[in-house]
Amino acid sequence: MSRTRILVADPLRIFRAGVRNLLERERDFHVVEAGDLDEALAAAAQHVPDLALIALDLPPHGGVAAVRELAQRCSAAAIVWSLDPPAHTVLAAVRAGANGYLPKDISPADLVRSLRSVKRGEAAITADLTTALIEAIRGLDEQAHARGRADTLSAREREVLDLVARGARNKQIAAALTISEFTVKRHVQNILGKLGLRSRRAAASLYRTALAGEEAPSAARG
Amino acid sequence: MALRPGGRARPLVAVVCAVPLLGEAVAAALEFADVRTFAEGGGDVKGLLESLDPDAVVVDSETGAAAAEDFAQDHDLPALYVAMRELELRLLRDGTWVRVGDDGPTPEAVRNAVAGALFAGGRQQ
Repeated sequence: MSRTRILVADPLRIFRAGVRNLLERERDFHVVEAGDLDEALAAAAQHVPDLALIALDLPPHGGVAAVRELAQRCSAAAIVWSLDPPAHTVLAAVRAGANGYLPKDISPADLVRSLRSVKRGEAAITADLTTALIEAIRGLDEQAHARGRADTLSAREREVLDLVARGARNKQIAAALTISEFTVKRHVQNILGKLGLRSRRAAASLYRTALAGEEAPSAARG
Repeated sequence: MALRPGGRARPLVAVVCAVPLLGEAVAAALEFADVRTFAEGGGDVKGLLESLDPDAVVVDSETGAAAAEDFAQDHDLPALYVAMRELELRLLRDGTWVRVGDDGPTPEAVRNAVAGALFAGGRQQ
């Protein structure tokens, strides 16, 4: 029986050692280790792994970037894992091409089961991370909706709203855009009208939702 | 080599881990010991240690470290904390967790820390 070749890419040697010890006992896995992206790419070129278990914090640019890079170099099914994955990273990993996402506190038996599932062509994701993925997808829908609404604004109105979202007051906005305060107030009223909102705060919140994932303005900044 | 009068030939090391795969690595690193690995999620870590009566304890979480600290101080035993998020190994010395080694939590560093604490007269005073 041919063994499944698995690339374990994790900056922590002790994690790699734990996975190696577990999988070598199973006898149907051949483990190759890597501590960073360069090592992972070199190992993928040399060993042509069937699976790749990639740490979310793999140096230098993280596991999601590593999934993208590996996908260009080999056909290994990639699984990203981490200790406390934020919901948006689960979605990011899947969008980058990962076949699964596992928590690092997974039991050894569940890890083996998940790896064998991915080898068979299934996805590997635990129930709680499935929930996180669903929440992230819903967030995407909200973002798309917010962007659609923000697109109804004129370029100047978006400039004003951007400054509102950064916490600027009308006087500051007027100075920044070299317009009168009266004009700023009019723009704000138009913005609220187009967005169907009653307050600057609500408009700022919608704007931040629309920009989520990009460099969204911080409310604390002026 | 008996560590205690009439005791075991090999030291018994209790590994209480929140991350089971870490337990796999620690167990493999401590080839000189009898290692028993337990999931921290089972609760009452101190009670477990009292029942098991190990020669050393290895943990990987703050909760485990707190329980290990109590037990280790009561029984004058070595305790090692593999702090993964901080990338540190910490040995309990005189009631304080002290960072040991420069390379962080590697299998060799775990082995060296536990072996040193067990065999080099490194028990807490």
